[in-house]
Amino acid sequence: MEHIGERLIWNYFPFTNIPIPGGGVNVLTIFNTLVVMALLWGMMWLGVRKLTRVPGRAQVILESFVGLFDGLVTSSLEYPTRDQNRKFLPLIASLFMFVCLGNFIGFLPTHYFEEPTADINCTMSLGMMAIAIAIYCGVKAKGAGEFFGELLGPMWHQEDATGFAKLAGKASALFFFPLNVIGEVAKVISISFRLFGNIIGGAIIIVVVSTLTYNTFLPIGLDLFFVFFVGTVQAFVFTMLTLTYIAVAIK
Amino acid sequence: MMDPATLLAVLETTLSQADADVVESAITGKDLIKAGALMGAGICMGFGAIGPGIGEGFAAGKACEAIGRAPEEAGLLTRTMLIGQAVSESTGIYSLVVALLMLFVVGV
Repeated sequence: MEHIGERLIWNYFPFTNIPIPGGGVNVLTIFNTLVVMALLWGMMWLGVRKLTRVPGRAQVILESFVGLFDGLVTSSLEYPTRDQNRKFLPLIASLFMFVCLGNFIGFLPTHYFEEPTADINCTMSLGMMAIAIAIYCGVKAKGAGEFFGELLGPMWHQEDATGFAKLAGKASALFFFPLNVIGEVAKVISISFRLFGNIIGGAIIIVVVSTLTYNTFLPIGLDLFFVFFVGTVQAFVFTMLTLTYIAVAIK
Repeated sequence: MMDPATLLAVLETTLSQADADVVESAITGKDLIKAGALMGAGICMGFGAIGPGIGEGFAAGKACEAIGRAPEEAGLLTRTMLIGQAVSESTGIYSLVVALLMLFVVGV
């Protein structure tokens, strides 16, 4: 049980003694990310291999999946035209698929398949990507001045105020601006630590129970709950929060 | 079986650990840090679980009431409830992360 929380890190490039800049690479995270991407690519290839008017089994699954996420994106972004909403569909759907399958891959009982989402580097980069896309979309939808002007607080923009009230409104930005900036940073922390904590907590509980029972049986029930149920729910929550951040930024 | 000489040596080693100076130097600052970290992890997890527990139970209760009033909306209500619970769980998850840090980083 002592190996909990340890991850395999390569400090040198393979077969050389050149150190990797930045203190090393979590090699299993990268490997599992590539495995998840390959699996997703394979599933998509199987699904769209033979597109027919009367769909087969795989095509029905993929179509209902895309339809579900199309409805979610349309109902939360509320752009006037369908094409503008459709632009976010690949991002949201692939984010869900990646996180979901990344949570599931820890189910395989070998040491080489660890959840890439149980590494804070992975979830933190996904969260930073989500916030960066939200800020980009906000700037694109409203313009840089208006978007970043919202960070200065509600009392900065009062047109009819004069004299002392106007001065106080401008001075309130000293209070509101750090608060809003911290709020933006806290979004990244919150969205990434939620996924990370849920997944690694479940993994640790499974390891602890397996050790207590001397690995005499596969903890199937625990896997069903902590890997499949929590994994799906957290992937959905991560996707929905990304979508909500984008929707808040563009409105 | 052990021969008597080895047995004596083992006995002597065991007994010698009860010496006063050895016992005094057994607890060092590192041990105190480890004890504090383990206790802190327990306290952190215990208190951090109260808020999410109450909040998620409240959400589940309200969802049950709503399903009782409108059973045909059960699917939508369950989905919304799960998302709300997963979001309100996050403070508990933060305390879990802090507890893990104390267990596996500070307390090693």
